[in-house]
Amino acid sequence: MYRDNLEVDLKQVLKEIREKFSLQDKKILLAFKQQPHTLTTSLLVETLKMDRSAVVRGLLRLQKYGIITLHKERIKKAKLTGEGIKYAETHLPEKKLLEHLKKIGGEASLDELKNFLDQNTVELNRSLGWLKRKGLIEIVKRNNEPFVRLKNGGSEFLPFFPEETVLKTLWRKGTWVELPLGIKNEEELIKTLKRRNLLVTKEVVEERAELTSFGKELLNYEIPLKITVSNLTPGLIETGKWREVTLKKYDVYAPVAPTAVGRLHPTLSIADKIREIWFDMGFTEAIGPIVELAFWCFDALYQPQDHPARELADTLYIKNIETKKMPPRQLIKKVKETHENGWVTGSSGWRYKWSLSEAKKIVLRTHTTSVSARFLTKIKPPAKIFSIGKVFRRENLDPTHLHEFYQVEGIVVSESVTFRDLLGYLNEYFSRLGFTKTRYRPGYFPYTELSVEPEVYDPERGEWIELGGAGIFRPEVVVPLLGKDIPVLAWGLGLDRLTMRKYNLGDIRFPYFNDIKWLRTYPI
Amino acid sequence: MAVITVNEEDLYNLLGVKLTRKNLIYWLAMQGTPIEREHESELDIEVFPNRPDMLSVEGLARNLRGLLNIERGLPNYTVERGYVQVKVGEGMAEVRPYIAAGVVRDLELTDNFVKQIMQIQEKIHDTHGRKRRKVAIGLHDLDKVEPPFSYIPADPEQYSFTPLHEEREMTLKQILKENEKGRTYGYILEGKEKYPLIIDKMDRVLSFPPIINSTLTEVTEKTTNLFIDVTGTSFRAVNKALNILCTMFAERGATIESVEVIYPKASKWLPNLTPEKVTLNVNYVQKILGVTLSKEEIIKLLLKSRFGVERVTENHIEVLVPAYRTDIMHQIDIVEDLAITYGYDKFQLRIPKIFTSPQRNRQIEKINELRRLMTGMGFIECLTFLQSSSETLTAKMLLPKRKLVEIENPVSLEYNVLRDTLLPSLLEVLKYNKRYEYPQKIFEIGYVIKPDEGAETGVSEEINIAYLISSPETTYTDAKAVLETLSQILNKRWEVKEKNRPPFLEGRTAEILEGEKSIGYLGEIHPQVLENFELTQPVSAAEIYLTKTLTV
Repeated sequence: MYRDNLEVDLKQVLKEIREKFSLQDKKILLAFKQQPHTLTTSLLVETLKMDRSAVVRGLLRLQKYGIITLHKERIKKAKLTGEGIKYAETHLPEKKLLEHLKKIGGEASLDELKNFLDQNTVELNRSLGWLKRKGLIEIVKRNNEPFVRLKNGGSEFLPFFPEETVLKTLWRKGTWVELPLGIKNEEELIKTLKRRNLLVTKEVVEERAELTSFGKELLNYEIPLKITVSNLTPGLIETGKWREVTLKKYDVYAPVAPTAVGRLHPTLSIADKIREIWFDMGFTEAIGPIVELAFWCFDALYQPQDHPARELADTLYIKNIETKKMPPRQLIKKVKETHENGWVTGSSGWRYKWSLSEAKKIVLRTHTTSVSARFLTKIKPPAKIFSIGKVFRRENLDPTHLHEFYQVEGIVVSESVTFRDLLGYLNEYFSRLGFTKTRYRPGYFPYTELSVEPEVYDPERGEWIELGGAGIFRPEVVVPLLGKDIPVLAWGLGLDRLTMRKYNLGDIRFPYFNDIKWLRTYPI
Repeated sequence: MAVITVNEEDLYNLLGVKLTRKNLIYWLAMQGTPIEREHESELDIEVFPNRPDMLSVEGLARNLRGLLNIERGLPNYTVERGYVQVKVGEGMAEVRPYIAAGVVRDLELTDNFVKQIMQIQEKIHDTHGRKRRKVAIGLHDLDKVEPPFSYIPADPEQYSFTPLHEEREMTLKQILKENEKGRTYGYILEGKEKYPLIIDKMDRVLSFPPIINSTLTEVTEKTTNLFIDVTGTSFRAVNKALNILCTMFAERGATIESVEVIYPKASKWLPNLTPEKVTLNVNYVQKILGVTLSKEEIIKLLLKSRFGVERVTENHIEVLVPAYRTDIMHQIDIVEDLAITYGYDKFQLRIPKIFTSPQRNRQIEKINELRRLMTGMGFIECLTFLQSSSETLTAKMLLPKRKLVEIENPVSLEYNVLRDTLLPSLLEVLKYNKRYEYPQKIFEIGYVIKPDEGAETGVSEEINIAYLISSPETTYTDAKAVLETLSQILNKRWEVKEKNRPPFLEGRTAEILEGEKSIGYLGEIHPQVLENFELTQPVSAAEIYLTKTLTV
């Protein structure tokens, strides 16, 4: 094929070869690099270990680009027989015999030689025939016995066996080897070997490809076998083409943006963990109203109606909403009398006039103790109950105060529990949270007596952290709600400060900002 | 929370022993008056509201002497019969019903003592006195005036005097209007026709309780004899305050002298320092504390706690409670004092074996699974406040004005209502996170509160889930894809129905239906709403009413 502008063409063809040629096509092309730049289809099939059809397709493609020319040709091929292979692997028997004779002094009886060839009489006779014809031995008789003797007493050198060269070449090249092999007197030797039944031959029509001058020019350039791709794609995997490509090397040190992850909120994760601690200790989970009657939030807990905590400055009140369902009148009466004069609780009471309208007010619960108060009217001792929920205080938000935060509430109701057990439960809880050092200081809450302020030691900061309040419910709380005076251990503990400590936060509001970066990356 | 400041040396003088500061701090904490702050020579100490008798260094030292075993039993104070009278005028019941009064003589006023006197007045006013409404105290230089005194309902414009720190005479009405204390505490007298007033024999004004004293009786370093008036709305409370003050002065060596308070129908000699009696059951002590204490040990602890002991029987001890104690209502209050004196740190911890089968709340369990499912879809869980602003819930969301649960005394306008939808808080979260990379996918499961007349507390408390996807490419499809997953995993047959509703964009929003029931909305947030929340990236979102759809 004639080309006008070799430069341009070359570049274009090279580009196409590099990018579009399959690995097989490229292998075929590269096979022409070897002298004498001409190959048959079979030879390619043989050497590249490819399907014949793939080779044919590849050659046609190369021809299309003017890299090779193709023409048909009758070709003679030879293949070793079983025996031929046997001799190709070792030596022809005549050569072996000759060597043996030389070694043992140039003369031997037939029996001896028969032994040497493992009693193979056919092989012996044939070999002797060949050697005799070549004039290398002669048969003489001694004492009427035939002896084989090297002619000329055995020359200095071993004669050359060109047949062996043919056998070994064919053997090395495999089956149906294209002829000629390029050996001297090859045609005659093939004939001889064929006669000896050491090989068979046949004639076939073959496609012969020859590299054009353009092809030769082309092969001066580097043609990489595989193309480089940046990513493995489903297409590459499905078509198996991944075998033909090289994946671009990755910069494993290049910085990357971290995976966008979905995670639970740290404060709520801690709440989950706390929930499991109480379940493990046999507690049942309770929930109760967030918007609560002052009755349950305060009165039922024996908090006097003029208590400062009930003032507008401390408690958030709901506007313009009234309750239509107050607790049973009997219960209200008991609570009222307990406040006023102690009722049957053995207490003097707060000694003031209790007002129903104050108890009807609706507040945002200031503690989850209201949940415990409600449950005290329902349970049958012994009982262990916990509750985790939001509570509300009229606090201005600053780094140490929240107007809305979490509380962990718990009560144990049993005839047999004492102050020591209260401290025991608290200690167990804190140790399960990972605090090994705890201490208990006197505290004050209107609804508990004895009252405790538990503190845990933070070894990292070397300081004690207050974590809420605890105590034994006053008889003035228990008797009206439960109907009898049974010890009720109770606690209302902080959770937000645990989040602060765990994640080393300086601002208690921070978890409520929901800083996405932090929520994505806070440590486990 | 009341915090008082005391001089450390002064405290040691009153204790009669000197401790190391570390040791002192320990004992203060163990008696229930923990240290709040340390200064060079002073300490700020927290006093719980049940112990106004410890709102002075004198009271603290009295209690601590018992704990340290320096002095035991009921403190012994003598009240000498005096001659001063206070006549309570007719009609005081409607004005400010109760007055208690006492006299203390032979005072030696030191700097520290004066500071403590000022401090305890202020602290009692704030706590026990409920900001002077229930109890207000006036201290007077007795030698400047002439008894008998009268506690009378006065016409607001009839009487005038020069109040403390003023330079001119003012009428009572003027004081309420023009004097600083008058403006602060005037509300207590709101709606009263007559105002309470204490005058002497010569009609000179000692005090205009609960507002301010006269300059006439101002206490100075030269004062040696004091007249104390305590007025208020509770007979018991005013007497307790008087007892606390008189015994505090006695702790400094002054002599208490009684005053005859003559009510229209009865008269009393005050202060009355007779201890009250409470019967303590020995078994009860053991039952509560879980410690086996003998009767003798209990008595020893009682005495160290500054109680008196009388009439001991086999199972009972009659306990004498000092007249300055305001907090003993039940024998449990004495048990607590015993425990404090015994030492909270001496109790051996114990966990009882009480078998109870833990019951999980199925709704919470289900919601927790849903939370994990959302994180599995790449959403970040948020935690926001229930308190929100009406502006955020309506105008900013383009939602109509509706009945919200309002807070009467909100922390600020930012938090004046309870939210009835979760989306606004989450849009605020996106606003906070504008500086971070997109896409941002967030969700919250939380309470929404709505007025509900039939409910016990007048509101309904329901749980919603809201999820938001914010990214340059997000569309309705993203919100719907999540919905499909939820619907499938929750085993629901949720369908959507085209319906326009703020805060979503018309034609790109739908109602979520479970059968006939509306259980939420989804769609693309309206650009006007995005602008209102200062957002610049598109947001697709949904809010689902979980309480309405999750049956447990």
